[in-house]
Amino acid sequence: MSVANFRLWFSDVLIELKRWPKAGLFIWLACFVAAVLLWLLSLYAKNATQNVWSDLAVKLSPATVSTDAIGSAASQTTELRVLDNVVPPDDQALKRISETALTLHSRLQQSTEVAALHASKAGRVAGLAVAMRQEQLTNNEASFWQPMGSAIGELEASVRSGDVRDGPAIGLITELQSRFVDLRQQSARANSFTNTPRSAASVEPALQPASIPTQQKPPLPMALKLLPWLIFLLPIGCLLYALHAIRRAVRIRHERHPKEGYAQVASTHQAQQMTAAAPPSNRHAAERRTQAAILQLLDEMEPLAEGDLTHEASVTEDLTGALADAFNQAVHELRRLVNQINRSSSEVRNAVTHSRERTLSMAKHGVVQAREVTRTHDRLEQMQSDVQSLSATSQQVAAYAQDVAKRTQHAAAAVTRSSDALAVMRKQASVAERSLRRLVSSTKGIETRLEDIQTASKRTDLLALNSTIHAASRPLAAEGGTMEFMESTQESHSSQNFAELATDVSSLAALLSHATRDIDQLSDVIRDEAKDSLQAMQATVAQVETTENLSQDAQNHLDEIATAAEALGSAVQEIANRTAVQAQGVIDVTDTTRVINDITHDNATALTQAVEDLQQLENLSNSLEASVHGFRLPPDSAT
Amino acid sequence: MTMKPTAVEYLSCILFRVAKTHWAVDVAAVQRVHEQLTIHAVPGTQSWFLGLAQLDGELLPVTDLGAWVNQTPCAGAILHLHARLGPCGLRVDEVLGTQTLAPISAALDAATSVMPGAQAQMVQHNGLDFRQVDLSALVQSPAFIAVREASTA
Repeated sequence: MSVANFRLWFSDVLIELKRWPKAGLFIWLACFVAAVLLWLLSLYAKNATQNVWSDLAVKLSPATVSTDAIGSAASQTTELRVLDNVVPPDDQALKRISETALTLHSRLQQSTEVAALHASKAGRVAGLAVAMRQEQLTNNEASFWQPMGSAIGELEASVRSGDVRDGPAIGLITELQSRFVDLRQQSARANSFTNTPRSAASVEPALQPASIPTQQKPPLPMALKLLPWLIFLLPIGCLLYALHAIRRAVRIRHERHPKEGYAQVASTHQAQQMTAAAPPSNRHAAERRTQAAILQLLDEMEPLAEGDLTHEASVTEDLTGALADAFNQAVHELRRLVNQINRSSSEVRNAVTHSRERTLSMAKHGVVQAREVTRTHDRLEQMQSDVQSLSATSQQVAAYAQDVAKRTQHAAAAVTRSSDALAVMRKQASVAERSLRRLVSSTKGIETRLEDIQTASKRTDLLALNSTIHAASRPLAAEGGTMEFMESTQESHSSQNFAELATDVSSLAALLSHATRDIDQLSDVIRDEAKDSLQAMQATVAQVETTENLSQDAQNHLDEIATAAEALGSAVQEIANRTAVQAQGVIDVTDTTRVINDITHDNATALTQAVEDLQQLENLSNSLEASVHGFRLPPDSAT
Repeated sequence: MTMKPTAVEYLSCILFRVAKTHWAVDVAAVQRVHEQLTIHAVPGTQSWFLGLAQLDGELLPVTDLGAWVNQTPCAGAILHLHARLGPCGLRVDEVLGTQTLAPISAALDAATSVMPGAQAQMVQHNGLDFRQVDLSALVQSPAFIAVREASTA
């Protein structure tokens, strides 16, 4: 970069900086200086404090800490202190130390054997704390602080050496250490009010355990804490501002002179200065050259008016060079803009084409979907009607089934009564059968008696016959002449009486014989009829038993039919109930389908509207592309 | 058959049946009719001779008239003939009673001619023809008296 270029650059920077008020710049500069000074001051103070702490840390470092060291440090600080007016430590703090030490003591005793060896140290700390509380030691440096610090240091050394590995014990040791430091600091601060500050400040770090110096630093003032940040932030802010101004100047310069840069601008600037300083003859020549440059520039700008962006203006050293440069810049922007419009139009057209095709497809599908939904809706309505009809029919069938069950129960009751009647009839038939059997038996008795009567009739008949014979033989004997007359007369009367008797006996025998024959005939008739009746009764009884069995079977079947009818009625009622529920469900589905149908119609309408909108967007894209169609671009400008 | 009354007087007769033939005998020729008698068979006699029956201290020979006439044993009453005809009993199938009837003449036929003492008269009763038999001729016929068994004779 030449000197002229650097000067231009610096002038740009100054111009940018001048945009801000000068007072602000001075304020920034003043802040920067003040920040640097404060930073230097804080750096000095920090180094001084750290030197004191680092010395004590080196003395009480973990590698070199020991009871003797702590003791020597304590004695060293004791020498620095004025012990005329020592404040006793806090009783509650001592109590907590003694409790922590006792807990640690019991914990160490319950731990490993090696750790138990250190339990006495914890006990010694507890004893010291208790003695301190009881005796209220005033001069406690040698009798309390030193031995307690020594015991705590030994406990911490046992932790570092690995003798104590129990986590809770380690925690107790740390807690004991912390409490001891707090108590010691508290005591030191209290004493600092009554003694010199030097002694308190010097005592604190001396009795801290090895790890304390890096953890327990004295708090710095807030200003000193914020000071390094301010020191760092202020110059960084100023530096960032300066860099921003330089960057802005460079960018402006590059936008103004992308090709020539500062060298071209510098030469143009020098030419202008030379022209202004030239004589009048030279001035006319310069004016003509300027007019020629303007005319050339106008000629070169003429294709631009026709939309031809392939041409560029020539950038010369004349006065129109800057205009040409700006003109070319505008042309470049127009090229970029036209290209961008063309690409965007093409992309929009492609996207619109694809979207319109997809939307048209969705619209077609939406129409089909709407038609199918309408058809489904119609079917659902038909299904709803059918299900309601089915529900009503199921109700009727359930009622019929219940009626059938009742009628079957009535029929079963009737069959039961019929069966009972048949049972009674069977009993009566059995009684009649037994009566007929007795009648048949009685008929046999009658026959027996009839035989006796027949025997008597035969004997009577025989008696009548013999009497007749005897009566008839008397006259014959008288006619024989073997008897006397008187005797024959008497015999004649006797024979006549005998004949009358024989006639009576014969009549009686005949009557008896007729009666016997009639009785015999009647007995035969009664016996035959009784036998027939008995057989008929037996057949009747058998038929009644068969009928009774059939009635019992019919009753059983009717009971089963009644049970089945009741079950059928219950099942049909259940079907009716479920059908009613299904009908309600179909109604809900129908309503939902109606809503879906409306939504589908709305979607189809929206898709149709979207197609129209896309068509308009495509038209807009085409018109946009047509609006820049008149511009001609160089072949390589599309990329 | 030509039936012609032979006399105007009536006959007191006993009517009986032997197998299928009906007979009428004079009531004076019969002393008594027995329904049942205990008959003791007599060995070596004809089969139609049933044996002897004890009746009032006397023996009564009893002949099966049906077996003797028609080779058909009778199962009915026994006609005890009058004593003047000799002790004799005739077993018939059935005694139908005594009747006073007017006999009529009637020629013997093949069925009645086999009976010794059968006469050409008969009486009619209840539509039946009863051939009259002379019992004295019957009991005196040689065939009736020959009660000894043929092989024995």
